[in-house]
Amino acid sequence: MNPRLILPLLILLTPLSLLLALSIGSVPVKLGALFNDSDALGRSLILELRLPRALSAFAVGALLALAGTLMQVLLRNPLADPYILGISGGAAVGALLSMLLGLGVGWTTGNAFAGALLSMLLVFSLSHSRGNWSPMRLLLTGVVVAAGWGAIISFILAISPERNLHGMLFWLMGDLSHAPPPLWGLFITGMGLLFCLPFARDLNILARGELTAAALGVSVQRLRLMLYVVASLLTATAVTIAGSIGFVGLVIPHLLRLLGLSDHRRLLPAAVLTGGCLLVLADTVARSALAPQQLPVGVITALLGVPVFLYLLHRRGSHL
Amino acid sequence: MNTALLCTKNLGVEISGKTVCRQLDVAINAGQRWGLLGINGVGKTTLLHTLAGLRAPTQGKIRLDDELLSTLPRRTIAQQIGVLLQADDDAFPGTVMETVLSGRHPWLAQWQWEGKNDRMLALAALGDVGLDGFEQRQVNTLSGGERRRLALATLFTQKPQLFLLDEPTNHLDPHHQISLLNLLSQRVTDTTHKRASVMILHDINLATRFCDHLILLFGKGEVLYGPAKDILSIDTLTRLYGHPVIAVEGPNGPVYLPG
Repeated sequence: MNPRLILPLLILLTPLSLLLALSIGSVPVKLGALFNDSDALGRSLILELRLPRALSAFAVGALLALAGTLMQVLLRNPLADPYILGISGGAAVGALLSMLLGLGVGWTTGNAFAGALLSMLLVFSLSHSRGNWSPMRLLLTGVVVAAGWGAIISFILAISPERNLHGMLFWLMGDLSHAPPPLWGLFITGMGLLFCLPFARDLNILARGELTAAALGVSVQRLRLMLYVVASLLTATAVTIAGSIGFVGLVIPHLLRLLGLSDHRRLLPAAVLTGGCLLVLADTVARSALAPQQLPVGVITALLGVPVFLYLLHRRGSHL
Repeated sequence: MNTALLCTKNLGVEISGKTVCRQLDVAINAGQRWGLLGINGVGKTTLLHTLAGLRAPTQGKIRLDDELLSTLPRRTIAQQIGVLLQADDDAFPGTVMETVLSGRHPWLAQWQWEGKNDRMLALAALGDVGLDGFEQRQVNTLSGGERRRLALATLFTQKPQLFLLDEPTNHLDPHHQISLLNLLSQRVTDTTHKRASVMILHDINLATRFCDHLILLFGKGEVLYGPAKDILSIDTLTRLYGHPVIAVEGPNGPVYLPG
């Protein structure tokens, strides 16, 4: 496929995926209800329940895919995902503690964000000693801090009363049913993308190596610091909205690279749209497949994404 | 009036407690082709990276066109100094065309895309190194020698004044060694531009053929530099490599061989 066609195609796919999400759910409602004054219930179901949720799903998927793309360039490691440096671990500890103490949904969200920021600052200050800040050092610090959060999470789960466990597990697997209003997630997605696009060509160069980038005029340390802060904030926002949804941030960038997109000027917007669409579709399946039972959306992202990714890898495998 | 593209003053370079050079005052003038010779691990690459501004010197100053190198923004440096690194690595996929166009990076504004002119420069450079028709190939499918030629094409697309090359002939077959060093020589000795080159070489005979000035690194900070014809001798080379070197008369002057 011509890589230039991917972006226009995604721009077409995005409204389609949103429309699909609005028209499918546990209660059968036709989209026509929107224009039918007598069907007030159907209209409010679509506009007040499905639309905000679909938009939240889009924002979270977009944030994770963008953060994953940035994180992979920052760490120069194709296996990096947005959670690798412990951001989701910090957020999870904040959220789970709030649930354990029986605080409200607002507190859970706020504490998740606080935990994510705490983890980001902790990893940064621990990896940034004596002016020496290499991707390897950052990666090791992040992975170890993430392991620390993992232990605390297990501890909280072990001492929690049984009635809290279901909610906690859903949070850990990623779930959009308690998502806050979608506007600020979408706003941060847009700001993140706008902020990164001017540096997209620098990312192309940095992906080819630190020295190569410096020799071609990129201020490597400044760019890396920026990548770390932006990717962390995007991840923190996504985790705060929907818990730690796996797979999207790791695989979307690769999926697009396998399709032939390697220029970050196209890859970044494409990642935003693909991540958004995938999560919208996954969430639609999650809330309708076993309705009225809801599934954690993280399970569906993996179930949808794994076969697609393996197929592409198999088709292009000889180059990788 | 100073005509040097790059000059060092009292330059001292150390790496992991080892002295590469001290109090080095060398001026690289337009039209000059410098060779940098020495045994493995003596610090040739370290010195080259220091001259490129990729690492800070232990002491002394480097001036690029009369401006202090350490105070210039990276982008400005990259418009004037092009570096051929020992090896590029590719964790992420990319095409030959994308790679060679990256040479235009220092010349493009933040939001700017490569234009027709940039594409023409890139295609011409690919043609020069014999990679025409490779534009859409993935870089990780190229052979070692092809990658080296791609890196040189990227450097030519960058169009710097000063070429700093770390073993440019690595992985190249004899034909490409000569033809690519010829291309580089033409660019440097072309008097319509102010250009110069410094290259690390392990082949003394390529150095005598393609360099008019030499910097010899003996280790422990001892350095000998100047016009090649003044400093090249069997004794010097024997001391440089710690191995006897003999000279055999060739068609264009002496050919040096390890004894």
